[in-house]
Amino acid sequence: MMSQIRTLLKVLKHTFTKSDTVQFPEQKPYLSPRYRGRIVLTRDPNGDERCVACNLCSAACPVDCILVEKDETQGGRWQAKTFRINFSRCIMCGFCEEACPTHAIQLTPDVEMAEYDRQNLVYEKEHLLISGSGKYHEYNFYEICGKAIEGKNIGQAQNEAKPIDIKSLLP
Amino acid sequence: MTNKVTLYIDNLSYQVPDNINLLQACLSLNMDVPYFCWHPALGSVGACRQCAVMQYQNEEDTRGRLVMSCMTPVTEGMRISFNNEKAHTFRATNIEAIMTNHPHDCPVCEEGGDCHLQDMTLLSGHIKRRYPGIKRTHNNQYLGPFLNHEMNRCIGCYRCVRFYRDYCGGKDLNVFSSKNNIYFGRTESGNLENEFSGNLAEVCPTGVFTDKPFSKHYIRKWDLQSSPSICTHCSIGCNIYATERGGIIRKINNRLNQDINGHFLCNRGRFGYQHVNHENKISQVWSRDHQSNKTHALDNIHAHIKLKKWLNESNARIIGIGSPRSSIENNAALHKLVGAHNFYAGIAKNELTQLNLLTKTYESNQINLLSLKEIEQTDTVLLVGEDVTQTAPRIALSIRQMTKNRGINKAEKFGIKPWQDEALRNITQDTKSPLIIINTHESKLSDVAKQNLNLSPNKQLILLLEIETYLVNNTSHCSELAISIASDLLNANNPAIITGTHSFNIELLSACLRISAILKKQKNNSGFYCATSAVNTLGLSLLCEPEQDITHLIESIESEPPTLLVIMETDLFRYFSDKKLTTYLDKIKHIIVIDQLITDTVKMADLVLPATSFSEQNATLINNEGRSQRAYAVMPANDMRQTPYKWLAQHNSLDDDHKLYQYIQSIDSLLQPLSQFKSINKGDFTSARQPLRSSARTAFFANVDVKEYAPICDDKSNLTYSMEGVSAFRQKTLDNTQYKITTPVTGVWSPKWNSSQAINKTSLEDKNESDLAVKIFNTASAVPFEIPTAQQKTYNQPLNTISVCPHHHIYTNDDLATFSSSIGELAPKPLIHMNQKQANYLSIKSGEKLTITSNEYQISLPCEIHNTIADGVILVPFIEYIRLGTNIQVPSNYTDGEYDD
Repeated sequence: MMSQIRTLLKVLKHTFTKSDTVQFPEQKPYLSPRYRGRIVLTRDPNGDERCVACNLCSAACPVDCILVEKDETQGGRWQAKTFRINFSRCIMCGFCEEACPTHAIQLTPDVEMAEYDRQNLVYEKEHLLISGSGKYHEYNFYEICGKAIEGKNIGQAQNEAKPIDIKSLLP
Repeated sequence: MTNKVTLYIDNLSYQVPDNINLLQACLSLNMDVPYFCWHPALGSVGACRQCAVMQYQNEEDTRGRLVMSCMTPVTEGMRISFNNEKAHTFRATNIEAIMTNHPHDCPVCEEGGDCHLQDMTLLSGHIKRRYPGIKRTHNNQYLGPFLNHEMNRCIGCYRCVRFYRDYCGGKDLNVFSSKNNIYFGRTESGNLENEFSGNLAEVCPTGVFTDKPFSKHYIRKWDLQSSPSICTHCSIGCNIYATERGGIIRKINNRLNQDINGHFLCNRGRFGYQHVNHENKISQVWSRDHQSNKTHALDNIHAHIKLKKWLNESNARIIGIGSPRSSIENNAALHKLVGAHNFYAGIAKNELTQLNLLTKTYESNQINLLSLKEIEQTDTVLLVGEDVTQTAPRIALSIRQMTKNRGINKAEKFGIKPWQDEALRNITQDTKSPLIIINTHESKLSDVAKQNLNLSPNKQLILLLEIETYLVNNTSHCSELAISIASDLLNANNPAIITGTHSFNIELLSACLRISAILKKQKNNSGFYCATSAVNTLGLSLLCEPEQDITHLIESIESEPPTLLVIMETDLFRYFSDKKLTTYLDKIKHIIVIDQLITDTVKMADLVLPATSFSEQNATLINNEGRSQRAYAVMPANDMRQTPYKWLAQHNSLDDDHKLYQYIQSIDSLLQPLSQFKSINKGDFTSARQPLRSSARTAFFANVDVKEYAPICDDKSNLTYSMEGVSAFRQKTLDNTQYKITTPVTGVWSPKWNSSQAINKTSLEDKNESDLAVKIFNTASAVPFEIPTAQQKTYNQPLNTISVCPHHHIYTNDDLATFSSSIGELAPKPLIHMNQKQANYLSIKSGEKLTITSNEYQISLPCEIHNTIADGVILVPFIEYIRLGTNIQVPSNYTDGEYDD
């Protein structure tokens, strides 16, 4: 008897609480910045592409929906010649973001991706690349990496000594 | 003979052979012992300190002592612990120290995913970097078109210099500076000169040396579709893994075959694959319309209709030209189509004569045919008339290893094992097994040669005949040189004669064969090896009667031109001058060319059928020692390409494999063993061509169609174009109870071992890879044959005649390899070489042009003086030499005056 009354009271109380359901699409729900939605490719603080085409996202992807093909610029930077995500297969698991050593690939709180034609869910690099740095503002892989690129010679990265003069007689 | 010893690892007993070190023993028992500096072919030096294990005196000993397993021989009753806490800590601390200076490069390193350092770091348990300090850096060098140099990544294991200098005899890579500053490179930037430099990419445990052409179309190792194949760039038939993705061949990896290439390939084999990706590859059927003088593409059905029409024309006289670089199956299909009398080998006259002599002698069992492995085990080599470094480079590497045998024997007396590299070198010093080279000019092997004789072909022959006489009746009428060489051969336990067909000198070859035959009578262990021109030259010659070569064919075209000429994978313009050939080919009504690339011959064709490259076909190839080997396709054929025998299948009634192999066997009894390839498709298991972690499968073709199609089925072999099948790499289980799977292995991988070093985890006895190779010359059934003796007139020629000889080069000799851009970059300019004396005699200076003519061709090339060339010899580039043909003359206006010998 008491439990039935308590239930009735709870239901009555719930009538006055604010609804979680919103009138989508007129009204948008709040999705936190780390929500796993549409995937983007970001740029480093200098505005250069962060993706170095290392293929780790592609290998981490449980549904094998990411294709990356490597290219090298004149300046020696590795970057993606092809970067394709087949969103019709993507399960938004975020493994690619976890695997990415350069913070290039990031998931965003955008979930409005429905299409009538499945073919339109195949995103190429130009559809994925954004102009900002996404969630991680400071990280610049090439400042840490030992590989020389145009504008950063050997010995100029973080925690690097000047290149050794092998002709010197000093030990 | 090796005996087995029992050793106890972590209190379990194991049986291992007694001639190996503890590290190799542990690896072959499938234990994950980390190491860097050890290499099965290079031995141990104990430089990296990574393979430490705990060794105990006896059962009571509980303290033990740390030993480097690579430096420790296995002994009976030995007790060690691999899992010991102290040993594990030692290994983990050691790798942490090694890694302090290693850059944060893995995402942008070509080695990533195929990296021994990555594997070993994880294996030793060093997962997080604690060192916060400054990293030392190094400037990089330009090392030529084959390799990238990234010295920051170096861990100082010394493998590169040990391989390059000690194993290959290279001079231009060295180690500089000391301690943390240690630097592996050249004195200054420049092309690495050695022919085996490409192996550094596999030898280096990390990414200091990486494959440059691969980097241009880079794919991570876990995405590479791979299959066992055979290198098609020379006659040795080295075993390779061809790797592919998206219809592009990405990289060639070594496939361990202890009998042939072992762990190393030459640069031509490793980088010569780019013809498959070349823009000039043929992918459609092209037909020439004579009325409109236009070329248009045909579909499959119309191509066959046209083919049928031409084949069935009344009074049709059909001639086929087979190819030395195409498989036995393809050549046999053409052989059936045109008939035995109309089938000609796509090689020149003098080469086919040489090949017929070789096969007859091999069949007669008068000589022992060696494999490369056996060459490495001989103790004296007489190398005659062949610059093997340029024509079949892998042989040169084996000969170089042979010279170390005397040192190894010397060391054995002191109880030093062959793998104890440093001690062995200390004892060896300059001791070398005798290598005697007789050639027209000095070769790259001369630094290890006991005698290096640069002689004109006539003098070479005289010397060989003297050696032969001495070997037969021990007379002292011979020259001292001949006696010294003959006694070197007689003093050896297992001497070898190595020669080749590239001197195009039949007398020289038969002299070598006779010497080998005489030696075999006296020493049962003596051997013989002969390099031929292309991967299947020997196989092709078995399908042809004598005189069925293109030189004879061209002569016969003049008198009675055929109505239809079917040319398979042969560029006739390599053999004849343009003018001569064009006039002859114009007499033929229809020309069909089956080829993979647009060559000059293809441009003359009325119908072009696109052929598959080595990477798109399953093929049987017979190498120069009569070893028939099976190569598997790595990708499905591109576009309209088909294996030549499939193009012809509808027209020669060999429409299934069974009939084809039956036909092959009916051509020559020597081809009987090929019957085993009939049943090759039927196995219990299929093998996957793709690794387990093959990625992007739902995205690769999504730009074309988001729908996913089933992988293409390979009905010709039991390999799949997918990840389905037994895993690519198999190893023995600890208790040796592996189920025998006979499907071919498609790659090198082992759990926790992602790099190619995983090959060291295979068991020592397992010969999985070479199971499918059959030697066609079996010793049981000998067919008697007498090797022809020398004709008097040839070696009685006056000595002052000038001999024009071919000059070979590793990067220009093979026609397909020259399509590779990296190889083309290193191809030398065509030059004529001679010595100063010869130049004075012809009154010509270095850089001036010399004209050489023959009956139908003329070359005019600048000269270069080299004093290591024999007197009376003019070296012309191999390609030009072939086109010159016979009756070569140096213009008479040069030859006035006395020639003083």
